[in-house]
Amino acid sequence: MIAPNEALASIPEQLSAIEAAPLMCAGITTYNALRNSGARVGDVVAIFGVGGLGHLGIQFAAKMGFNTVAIGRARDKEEELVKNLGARQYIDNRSQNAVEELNKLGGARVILATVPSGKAMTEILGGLAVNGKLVIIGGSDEPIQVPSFLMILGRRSLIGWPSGTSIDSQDTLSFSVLSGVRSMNEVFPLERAAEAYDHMMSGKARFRCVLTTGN
Amino acid sequence: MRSVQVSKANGPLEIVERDIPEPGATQVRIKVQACGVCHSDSFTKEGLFPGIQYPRVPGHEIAGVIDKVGKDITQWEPRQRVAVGWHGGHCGHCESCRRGDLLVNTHRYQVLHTMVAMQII
Repeated sequence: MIAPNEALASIPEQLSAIEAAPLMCAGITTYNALRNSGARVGDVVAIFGVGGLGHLGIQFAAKMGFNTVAIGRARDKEEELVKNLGARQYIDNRSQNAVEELNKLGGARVILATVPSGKAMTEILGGLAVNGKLVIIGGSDEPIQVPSFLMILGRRSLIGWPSGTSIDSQDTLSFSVLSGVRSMNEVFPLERAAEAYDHMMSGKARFRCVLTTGN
Repeated sequence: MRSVQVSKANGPLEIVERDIPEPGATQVRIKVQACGVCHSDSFTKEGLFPGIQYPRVPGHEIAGVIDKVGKDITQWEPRQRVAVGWHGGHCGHCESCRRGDLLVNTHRYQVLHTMVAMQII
């Protein structure tokens, strides 16, 4: 492929190509959104969704020193998984009320919303602490409904975050080496790209699909 | 080179052979080793970018090795390992670039400005 020179990030020798690739969107987006979120060391930061983005967001948040809470949907051994990734607490959003659980912790300073659902993002807003911020990185056509008094009285806010520039990518790779953050990947040869794409779209991938070319 | 291509909006991902491109003066050519498959590749596959043109090779989680550099490239050289994401370049002279905001620019939906669908060698 052809790329302009300003689009390039240098890959550290400690990372393989398979390890580096998924950090270029899922990795940089979670890392860069978290480091620019305004959360400080020790703050409660909730990672909403345990998927391709979420499993990296949990690791980055924990390594950045946040009191990391993972909110998932009780899929196979999810609690054990997120705790191994660094979460201090797991909330099963099917059997528990995530808003109540977050409020028991004083509310979240930041909720990193990876789930591509406007309805789910609407329902989680009540879990924000005073000055809390919902950071939207999961794309959905479905609108988010925002109660005005919740936002006004607690100075709460919503922002979106798009990945970053090439130097942000390079920072993501460097921090991943420094902290040991890695994507969990399912690897497919290039010839099986259509199958990998369908697997990713089905939501069943654990957690990122990566194509290899043999180069 | 082998590529995975989409020929039309909502078309299938097809394996095709494409000519190996030559890098321009300020570009590099990368031999791709790995490419992540991301939910936002659906924007490319389903034609959700306004003005997107086909055929198109999706992919924006790319890792590989530089195999050729353009004549004006001084800071990169062949055999260096590099990765590329959504930031597919910037012009340097639009209002957003002049404000130092290289990613979220006034040409937000001009796919080729910062969001380039990438090719796999």
